[in-house]
Amino acid sequence: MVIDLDRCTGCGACVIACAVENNVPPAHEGTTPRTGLTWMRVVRVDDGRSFPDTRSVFVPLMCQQCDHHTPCVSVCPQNAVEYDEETGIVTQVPVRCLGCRYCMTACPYHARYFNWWDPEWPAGMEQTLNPDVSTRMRGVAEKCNFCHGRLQAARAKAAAGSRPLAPDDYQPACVEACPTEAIVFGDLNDPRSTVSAAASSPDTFRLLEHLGTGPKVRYRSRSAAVRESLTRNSVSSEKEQVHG
Amino acid sequence: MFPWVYGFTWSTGNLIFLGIFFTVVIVIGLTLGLSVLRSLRSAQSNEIAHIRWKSEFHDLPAAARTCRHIFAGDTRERTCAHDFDCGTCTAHRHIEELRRSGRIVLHRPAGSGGFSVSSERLYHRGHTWLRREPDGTVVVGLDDLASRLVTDRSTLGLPPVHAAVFRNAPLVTIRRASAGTRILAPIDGEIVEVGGEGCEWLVRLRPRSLGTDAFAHLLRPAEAAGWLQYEFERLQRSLASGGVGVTMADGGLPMQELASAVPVDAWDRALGEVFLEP
Amino acid sequence: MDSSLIPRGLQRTSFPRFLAWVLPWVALLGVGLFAVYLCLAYGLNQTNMDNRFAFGAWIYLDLTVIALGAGAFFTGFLLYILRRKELAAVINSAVVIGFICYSGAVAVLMVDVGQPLRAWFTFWHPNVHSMLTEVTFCITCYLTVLAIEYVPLILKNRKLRKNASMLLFEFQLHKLMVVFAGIGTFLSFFHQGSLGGLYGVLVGRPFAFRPAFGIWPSTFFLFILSAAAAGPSFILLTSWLVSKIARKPLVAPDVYRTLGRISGSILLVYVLLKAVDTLVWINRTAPGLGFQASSFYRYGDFGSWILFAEIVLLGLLPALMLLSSRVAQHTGWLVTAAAMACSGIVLNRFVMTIQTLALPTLPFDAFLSYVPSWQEVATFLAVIAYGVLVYSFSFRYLNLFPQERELRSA
Repeated sequence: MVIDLDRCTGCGACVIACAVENNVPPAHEGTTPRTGLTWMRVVRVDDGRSFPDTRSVFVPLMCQQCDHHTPCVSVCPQNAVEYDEETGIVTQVPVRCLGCRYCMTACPYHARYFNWWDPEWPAGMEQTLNPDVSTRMRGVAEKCNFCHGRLQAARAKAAAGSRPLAPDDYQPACVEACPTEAIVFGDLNDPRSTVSAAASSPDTFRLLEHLGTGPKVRYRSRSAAVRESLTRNSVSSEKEQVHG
Repeated sequence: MFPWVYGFTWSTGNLIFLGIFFTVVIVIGLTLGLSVLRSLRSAQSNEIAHIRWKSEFHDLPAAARTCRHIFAGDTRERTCAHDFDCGTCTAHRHIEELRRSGRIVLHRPAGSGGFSVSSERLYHRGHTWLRREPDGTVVVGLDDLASRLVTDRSTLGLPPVHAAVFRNAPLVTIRRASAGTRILAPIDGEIVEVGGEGCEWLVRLRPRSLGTDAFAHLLRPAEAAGWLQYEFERLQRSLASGGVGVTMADGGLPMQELASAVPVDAWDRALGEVFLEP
Repeated sequence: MDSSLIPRGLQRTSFPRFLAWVLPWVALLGVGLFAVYLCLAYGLNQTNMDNRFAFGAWIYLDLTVIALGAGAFFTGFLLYILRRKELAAVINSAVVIGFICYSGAVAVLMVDVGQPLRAWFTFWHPNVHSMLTEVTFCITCYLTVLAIEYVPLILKNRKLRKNASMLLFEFQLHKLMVVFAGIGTFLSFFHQGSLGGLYGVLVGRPFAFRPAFGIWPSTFFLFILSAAAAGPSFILLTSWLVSKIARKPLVAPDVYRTLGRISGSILLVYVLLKAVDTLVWINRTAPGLGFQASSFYRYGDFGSWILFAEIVLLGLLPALMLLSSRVAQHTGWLVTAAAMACSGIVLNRFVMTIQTLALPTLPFDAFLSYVPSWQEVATFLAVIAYGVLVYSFSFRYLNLFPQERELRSA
């Protein structure tokens, strides 16, 4: 997946689409930005200057789908986090989750969320639930899985047609919902795919590359300042804020 | 966890980890099972008395476990590690051999602190004495320290005739208000007669064995004199430290009736110290 | 009734006074149990933890009490396996403290996880690559071992030992204690280490991540050493504290000195290795992950003084104090040094658990603060109250300090 930050307007359509697709319950009373279930969120990063000089960039942030040695898969004591060798997608299995939150501690992208409350939908709203995605219970972790329900549906369809799963058989909800087509999704291993082409462009980068987690979500921006501000570590940004 | 559980793989990591885990569980289980089995077995055989004594001996304060050879002046400092069973102690055997060859002389200490020790009696560390009778039986009584502490015969529960008694197992029970203990039997045997009021001994026993081994652990009169004095001092120390403040001794003779000098709330402790019950 | 349960020859305060001592702790425990009920019934929204601060005060408590409870395994190891007989004076107390620490930690863990009823999943579907799996397995086994080691103490109670079967079981169990001491040592090595590994493997947390030796990060070995150092010091500290509260000597001064010496020598080794580890981390590990180590100490009150306090002030200094024969002559100084050593380890666990999570990783993250909710604090305090209660009852009715009787009449 490649996200073009220059195209992102911060509209939040992806966030809504994600929540609707994946049966994320409405926030419980008392939820804070740090206790909500936000598989996908859009973070506004600005350069620390005050208005009107400030420059901002919107960063859609979700599970970065790290490569083989993901920080979260190896730490789960009971195999509730799985790495799918075929697709490279990291999946949370909530029914197996104990709720120890070790994976959340391990994730440098803070892309994992805990069900602090019982999921509740206002009367009638449960009619709108997506039948392809199971709801989760209180006390377990969950996160973006590149719309596992859609992947399963695509697999079933491919199997019915007796053909292997093709990379463009499905698109996650956020990709579909983005009005500016800022998110490109596909098979990074296929050199002919659009996503590969986007990923190999020199203005593409990954978050916290130095950690060696090998995220499969890439960001791109033609602005060197944006690239710089999102790839340097927190030290310098803190320094800048102090000096700025 | 098991090969038939969903998701199990025969990976090296799993094998090592679960192998160690199951080894630990099995060792814990086996050890626990073994101790249950052993305790069941010792409950069936007549080892209870023996084990009870071993356990009690283990919990006695070091001062109560002083080696007998200190009282005889053979050694300066030594704590018994053989449950007062001198027959199994190599050091004891060694000293006895030296003594037989005349290289160590058993000399009677200066005084016995005013406690009377009879030359025809053998003394058990639980404060009973034993006298071998011509008819092959032995009579058992309380030594001078114990009989000054336990003056009222009616508080003693004596065993019935024909009862089997075991060395270092309870022979007599003492019941006083709020305090109770038992007096240990000096040797293995069977009760043949129970002494009445005014009798110098408590019970008459037919020993299981008349060999020297059966009596090797008992103190000879020359040792008993020093021992009784030591025991009396130990009792005093114990009572004094508890804030009881028994003001006997200081070199003087012990009171004729020790019993009246021990305050009511210190009885339990005094009996425990003297009759070796931790 | 009460007095017939107190070991013969030991002086214990009157029952009403004992009750007066116990009741406030019972009240504290009660409040804590109510908080636990709230957390179990309404979920972890009762805490102030959140998605970013996913581990909070409870994990800190677990790591700390388990480090301090290491005295049980280490004393057992020294006594039963290395045959340091003089430690028989504190082994009973060490076992009770170990049992309290581990059972308290496990109880809190059960509240801390979101789905306590799924705790068995870890056993059924273990991911053997996770440090937490190792911790879970080891702690469960070791708590069993500690319970087994605690049983003989209880069975030796004056009333219970009158029962022949209790006495026999105690006797036979005690004869095999060396096996349990051995297993306890083995298990402790692994889970103390794995608790360190818990954070050391977090590649996503450059503040905590350490390079691995084999399959274990360096914190694995540092935690074993620091726990082995803190254990004897904590036993020294508690024995002294109990003896102050009970107003009577419980162990001979030379036992204090032995404990101090053991703790000091291990602490010294630990501090040296910790210093090496820190230097490697500053110069190689952290830069390799794209972070300047100095950047971690730029936030709020979490300056580099923490590093200094941890390694020098509460590490090297108490280690040298514990090893000094001049200090060993004064129980007061010895206790101070032991308290400093324990504080150093407590601080280390704090840094590992709380500071790690407070520091930002993403360039646009902020330094986070977290204040535990009253439910978390009450649960935390309930563990302490539980410990005081178990220890108080054990001290009153069991013979925790075999030397007590002799010291009294000395």
